[in-house]
Amino acid sequence: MIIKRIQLRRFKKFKTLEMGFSPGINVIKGPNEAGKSTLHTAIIAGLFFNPHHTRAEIKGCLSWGSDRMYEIGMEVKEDNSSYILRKDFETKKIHLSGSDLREEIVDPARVAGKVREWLGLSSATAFKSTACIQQDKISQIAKGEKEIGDSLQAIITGEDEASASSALDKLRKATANLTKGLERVTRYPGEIQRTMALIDELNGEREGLQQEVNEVKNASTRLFGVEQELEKVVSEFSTKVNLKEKNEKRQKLRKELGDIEHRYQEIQRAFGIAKDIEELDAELVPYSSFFDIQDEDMGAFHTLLGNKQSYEQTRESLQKQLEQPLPTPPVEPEPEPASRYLLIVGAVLLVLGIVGAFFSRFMPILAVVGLGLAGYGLLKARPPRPIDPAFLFERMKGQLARIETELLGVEQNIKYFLSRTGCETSTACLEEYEKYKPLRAKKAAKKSELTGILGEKNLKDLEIESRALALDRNAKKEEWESLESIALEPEQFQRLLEEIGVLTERKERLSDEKKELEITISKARATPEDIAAIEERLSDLEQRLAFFERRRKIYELTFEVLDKARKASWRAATKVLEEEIAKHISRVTDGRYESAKVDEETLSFFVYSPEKENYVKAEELSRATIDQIYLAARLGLVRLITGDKKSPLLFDDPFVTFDDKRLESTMKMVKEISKEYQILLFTCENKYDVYADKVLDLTKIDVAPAQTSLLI
Amino acid sequence: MTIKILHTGDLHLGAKFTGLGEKGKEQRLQLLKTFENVVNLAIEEKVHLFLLAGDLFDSNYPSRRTLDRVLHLFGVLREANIPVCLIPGTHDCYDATSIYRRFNFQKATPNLTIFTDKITSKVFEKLNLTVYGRALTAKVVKESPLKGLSLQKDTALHIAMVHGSLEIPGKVERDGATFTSQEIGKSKMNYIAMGHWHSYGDYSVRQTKACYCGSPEAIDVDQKGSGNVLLVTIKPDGSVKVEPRRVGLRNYEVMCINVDAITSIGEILGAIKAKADLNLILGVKLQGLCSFDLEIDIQELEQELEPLFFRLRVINESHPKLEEIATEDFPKNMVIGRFIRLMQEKIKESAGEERETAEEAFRLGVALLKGKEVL
Repeated sequence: MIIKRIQLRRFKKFKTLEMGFSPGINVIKGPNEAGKSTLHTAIIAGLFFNPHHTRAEIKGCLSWGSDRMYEIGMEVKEDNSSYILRKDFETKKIHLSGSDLREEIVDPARVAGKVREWLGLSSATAFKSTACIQQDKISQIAKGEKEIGDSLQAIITGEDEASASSALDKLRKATANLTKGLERVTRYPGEIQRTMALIDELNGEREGLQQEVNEVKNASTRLFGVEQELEKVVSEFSTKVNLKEKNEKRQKLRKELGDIEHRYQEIQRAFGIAKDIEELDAELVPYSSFFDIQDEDMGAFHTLLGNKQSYEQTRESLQKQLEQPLPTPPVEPEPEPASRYLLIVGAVLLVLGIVGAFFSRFMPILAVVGLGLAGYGLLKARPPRPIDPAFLFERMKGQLARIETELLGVEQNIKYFLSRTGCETSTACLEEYEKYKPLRAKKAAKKSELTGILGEKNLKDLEIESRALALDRNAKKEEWESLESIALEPEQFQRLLEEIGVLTERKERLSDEKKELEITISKARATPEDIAAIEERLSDLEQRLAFFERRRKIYELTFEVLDKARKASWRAATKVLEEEIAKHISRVTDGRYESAKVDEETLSFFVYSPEKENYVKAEELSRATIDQIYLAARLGLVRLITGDKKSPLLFDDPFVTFDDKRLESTMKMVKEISKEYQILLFTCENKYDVYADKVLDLTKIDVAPAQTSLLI
Repeated sequence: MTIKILHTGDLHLGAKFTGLGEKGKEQRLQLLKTFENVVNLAIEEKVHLFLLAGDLFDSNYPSRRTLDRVLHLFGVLREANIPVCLIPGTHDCYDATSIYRRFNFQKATPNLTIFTDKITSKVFEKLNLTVYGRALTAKVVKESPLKGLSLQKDTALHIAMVHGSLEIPGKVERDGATFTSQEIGKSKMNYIAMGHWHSYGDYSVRQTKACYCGSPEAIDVDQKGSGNVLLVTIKPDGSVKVEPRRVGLRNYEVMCINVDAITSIGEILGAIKAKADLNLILGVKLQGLCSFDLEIDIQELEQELEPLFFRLRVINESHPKLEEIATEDFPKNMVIGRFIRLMQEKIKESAGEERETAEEAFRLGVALLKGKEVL
């Protein structure tokens, strides 16, 4: 496509402007502020701005001091057809007329479509990033500040300032910030790992609390069960204990009734004994004189009687003996001669024995025998002397006198005793006493029996007691009878005791369990509300995690698709770039390099050096060569992007830093390019004039329209 | 004698607030504070009777702290000579291990009557009034909770307490425990104190006044009628007047913002800021189609606006206006051109969450390729 003419009204610094262009190289020159940038922008606005839009970029082109929007008109040629494109941003109108169009097109979208057909580009951004070659871009390459690959990347990405690589880098970093630490442990994990760790930590905490709460819940539930069971057991226990106590009471009552009956009978017996004693007392009245006579007294009386009898007999015997005549005094007897011999023999044996002891150990025996014989002889040698009868007579008289005295004393004592008993004779006394004695013993036995019953009480007390016992017995009997319904057989009672034992054990076990459960509950620190608080935090964290996971998915998908797009675009670019560079490399290097190779990953390119027999990095080439190769590459990208469309190329003073030699070499190439593409080269210098097909000096342009107006 | 009654229920003490995150604990405490306010209101209003229509606790295992606080408040009512009638609800139902079985409330608070499966009526002779109630023995019961609550006592006035859902054909038909309008109409009660629904509602039938008191403090979203207790006045002739009284502190609200016409984040911020209230739990839903170039970072929005609310959650349900990207504007051999075409295919092929992810990836990729600082 070729831009033939452009006409402006109220566009930035131009109130009006009309300018015609030719195919080939158009050098648009002028000093700074002459309007080069304005014209550059106007061409882009004319082609791509939509009058219906109100973007800042569109509003920013308003003429200074004007409150009315601008108008742009362009005449273009494409495939031998001419078109006039008019845009009025004030009235928001758009018109496209052309030699091959049956009618004017006023729909912005259709107009944009037509522009796309001409240029192969439909947005200002795409146009700027491909067809517009900025001074700074060439300058950066020329100065070695930027590698060709980087610059080409940005172009192929489609935007001025961004490259796919940088976008992918950002995505990689952002994804890493989220996913760091997921695959291997790291000191500074990403958001997802951090959140997951927090969730794990809280889940752990929750599990611990839940366990504790469950224990308390279970304990609480169990406690309720235990309390109910305990209540039941206590009730059953109480019933059985009550039954036991009643039966025990009944047994006790039975025993008490027995005791009462026994006591009652005893008391009755006491009354009988008392009556017997009364009767015995009556029987004993005749023997009243014996009441103070004891058996010992009677013993003494018997002794007195015995003594009396003995004395009387002795007196009688002595009297008889004294009545006999005195006998002749007896002759004193001679000692027996045998006894003397025995004495002598004994003495001799003794002496022999003693002396012989010095000679034989048997000789002392002889001494002992001698001693024995001597002793016996001595005894037999002196017989007793006979008693004198006169002496005996006197002695018997003395005895008789003493007997008489004793007998008198005995008789007095007997008399005295008889006077105590009221008996006249000893015989009578003894007979009476023998009658009295059993009666007394009987009474004593009765009294003893009665005392045994009475204790310290008396019969009156017993009467009172008897009455009380009768009452007590009746009451107890009544109570005993009332308990008859619950009376248990011994076996049943035994069984009851066993059951109570079991219940006691159960009650104690339940009480212990209750205490333990109460302790568990009271000790518990965790509450369901603590779990709720954790779950609330967890819910937040899970939402946060879901958010991060979603971001991750978004980043990963963006990365995946962007990388795919980048690779496909760069693969396509690589081929075109290699072809385009190959076309020019030999010429611009005077045959030094022949072919080029472009790296798909970086878009860096390498040229084949026959000298080195290898590919070398483009940066090793001379600056002038690099410039031209860059231009060739740019052109290649324009071809790639626009296809067979030939968009005008806008050069913004790109070679300003070049020396004459580099400029000449480069402009030769530009001249070549201009055979296919219309070139609008904006500059403030005159050095391009020689290469120009048309030179337009902004300082000398007649601003008034010279031809048919292109405006609406 | 005119009788004044305070009817409340569904306090859900100890409830979990998963949507409130770390603020859940504060809201749980607020439930107790609100209960205290309700008790104080009952004393101020000198009511004769305090009715709790179920779900006092959120579960049958309240914490000891909560239980102690409740006992204390029952004690405060006892000191003011206000008897309390309570029916277990669905959350604290009268099952085998119910808190009302495990803990001896009557011993601790003699002024409290808990209706169970066995105790179904309580006569207040001085008030010439009988209160009827029957506990739910499980979370889900087949029988109507009103079954068997007929007039049995010889008093002038009769009140029933019930916890369950009123059947509304086509709207509410199945729930844990349901009863019907016909049952209300036939009950011959002067008043039926209903619990289970968290919003206030009057469902009186003929002479029988029947009202849901609602939760005194909102438990969740979509409970616009919550935050009230009911002051019920019964005149000697049996006529009943019900006055809802606001006691709740916090409100839940869901705000939908249509982003179709929104051109900047500032507009969204402004719309949310207009709702600023430190006691508001606000959920914001961004809906519609937003400009492709409008980057909405909900985390940033929440961080900036959270201090203005008790709790703020922003959910972005909006979708980018994909048509704003004119594919033709991006040559297919450029990376951006290829990316756009590939993403468009992906979006076309996917659905649901996958599509949403693809849309976001589309928006992000284009922004990155345009050199925007979006990461």
